[in-house]
Amino acid sequence: MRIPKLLAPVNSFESAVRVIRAGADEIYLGVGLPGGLKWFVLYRGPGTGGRGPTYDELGWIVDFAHKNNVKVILVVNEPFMSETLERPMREHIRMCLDKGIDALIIGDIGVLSIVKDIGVDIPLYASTYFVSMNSEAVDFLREQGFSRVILERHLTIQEISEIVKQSKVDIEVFCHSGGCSNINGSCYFYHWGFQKFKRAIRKLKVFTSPCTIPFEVYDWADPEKKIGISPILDALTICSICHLSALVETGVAGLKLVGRLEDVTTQEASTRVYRKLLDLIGDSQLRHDKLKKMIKSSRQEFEEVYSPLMAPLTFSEACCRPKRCIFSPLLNAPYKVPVRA
Amino acid sequence: MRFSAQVENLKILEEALHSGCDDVRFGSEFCEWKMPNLHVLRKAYNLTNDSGKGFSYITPRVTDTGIKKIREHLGFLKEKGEIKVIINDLGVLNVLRRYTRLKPHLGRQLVYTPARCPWPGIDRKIAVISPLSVLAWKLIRKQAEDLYSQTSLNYDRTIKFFQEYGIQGVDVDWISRCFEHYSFLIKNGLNLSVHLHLVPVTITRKCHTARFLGETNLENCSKPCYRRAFLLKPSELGIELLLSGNVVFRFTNPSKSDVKKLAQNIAEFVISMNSASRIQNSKEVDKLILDLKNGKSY
Repeated sequence: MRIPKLLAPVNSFESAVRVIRAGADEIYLGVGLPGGLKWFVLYRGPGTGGRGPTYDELGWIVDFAHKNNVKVILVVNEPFMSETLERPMREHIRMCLDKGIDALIIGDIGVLSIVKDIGVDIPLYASTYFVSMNSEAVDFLREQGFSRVILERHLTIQEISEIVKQSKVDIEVFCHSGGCSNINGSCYFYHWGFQKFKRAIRKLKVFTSPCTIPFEVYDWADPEKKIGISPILDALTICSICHLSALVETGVAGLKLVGRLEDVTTQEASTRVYRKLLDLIGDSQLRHDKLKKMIKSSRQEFEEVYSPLMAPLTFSEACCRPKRCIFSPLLNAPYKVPVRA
Repeated sequence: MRFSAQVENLKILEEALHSGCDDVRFGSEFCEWKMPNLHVLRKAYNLTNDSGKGFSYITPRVTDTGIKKIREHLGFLKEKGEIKVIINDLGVLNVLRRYTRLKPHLGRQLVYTPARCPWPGIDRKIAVISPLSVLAWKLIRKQAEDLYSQTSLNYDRTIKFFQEYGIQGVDVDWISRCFEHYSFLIKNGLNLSVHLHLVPVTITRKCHTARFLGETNLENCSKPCYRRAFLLKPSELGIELLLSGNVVFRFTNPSKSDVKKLAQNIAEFVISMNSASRIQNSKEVDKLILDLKNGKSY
């Protein structure tokens, strides 16, 4: 059985050191665009930069990673390109290439055209911003020069397996944190930049995703008729340790942990947990009861790391009980147990 | 300028055919499980053809199961001439390359449009650039605001890329702040189809409506979204959203000046006929078309 590479998020030199020591095979990170647009992001996540490392720090990260045989993947997956962004983007990609990065994650055709123009000779990975949900999309992206495709998060294990079987490139999937309620490349619920939203999040004590907010729900046929208050859009999922064995069996080449905005302790803990489980699954002498035991101890580790972030709920109460598993059935309805942060 | 009615099932199709629209778009824009089967598609095509209206086929994002279905559908449509196929998935674009008679048209899900974001005033908060001078801050803010009004097609290389795959037209939303940037698309040879009223804010496969109403299997979904939609009011945020099936929309109400600005330049107005738009019969379509022709706001 092929054990997929474990990809961990990084946002500083310290986090790079810690996730590499925790067992990451590859690390991925973003660096802010040069100039005034450093903080500019066009999607709801951390974008290329903002809280990421500087170019100098990127250089140190690359050196450390390469000494440990770990690849460094740069995220340039803005789902957007325009004349205004072209110059800073070219400059940005060149600066990062000079630091010795090993691959680029790209999420837009315009960005891809710039990368090709520059003549980049490192592997290109297709971001979830291409929303690849089928073998034809994967094939299309392969023709454009991508050697790895990161699939959309809303696919079932069976659907992933079908794509892997038919694919001529490596397939990567997200396995931990950030299991969004909505399709990544089609979601305009930006998580930042709107003061009212920030205040609401603080007041409601929900996760930082707008989809977890309780909404007043009315029947559209009779807008005066209030049905109730419910976090109706909340389908957020968090973890996949219980499904990991089945996920590995699909033959995916990479498993990615989300968390470029998370603190280093969380990044390190999730890397460590998945590393241990993957090593165990890869062990030809694997016994089912041993894996079960390891999953239990992994949950315990997550309890310690995540529970303070989710108080008053524990990790089990917030994640396991409402089945916020990344590969739970599509119609699982976690909103019945609202998550409190 | 043409008027198209976008419909998802035969019942609404009948209404569209009785209306004054020029064309019909049949199929599902957002949900794989609402795609018609071949029998229904054939019937829809025949009815539309008999009525003398133009026929287009609209497809959502799909998994491999959906791709199989679409291949079957394209096999039928290719015999019918140069039919427009609206695509929202790169995999479907890939499949369409094998059907040279069919005309691919970019759907809204393949056009990234930041202005779909429902949070008011977001563009004013995007640049946290403390070390810069006031002048530089203003400049960056203006630049960023402008970027927020563009689409992923406001870059000539991206347009050329899609044109090489036979794309001649594109679906966009009725968002007045974007109108200025739509002209770039037109100048670069794309025909614009503008959707009225409903701007998609977010889309899911974990259908929020189905989960809320207790559906247990998407393959056997009773499709409550044909009948019901929900108004969502996050009171803390001061906005209103509309949940219809697996999509959350926000409303845009075209003003008189919007209609005037846009009407001369676009190829097609798209009128979605469903429970969310509340346009479900021929009279409502006709009234809307009349209002648009007269340059009225509504």
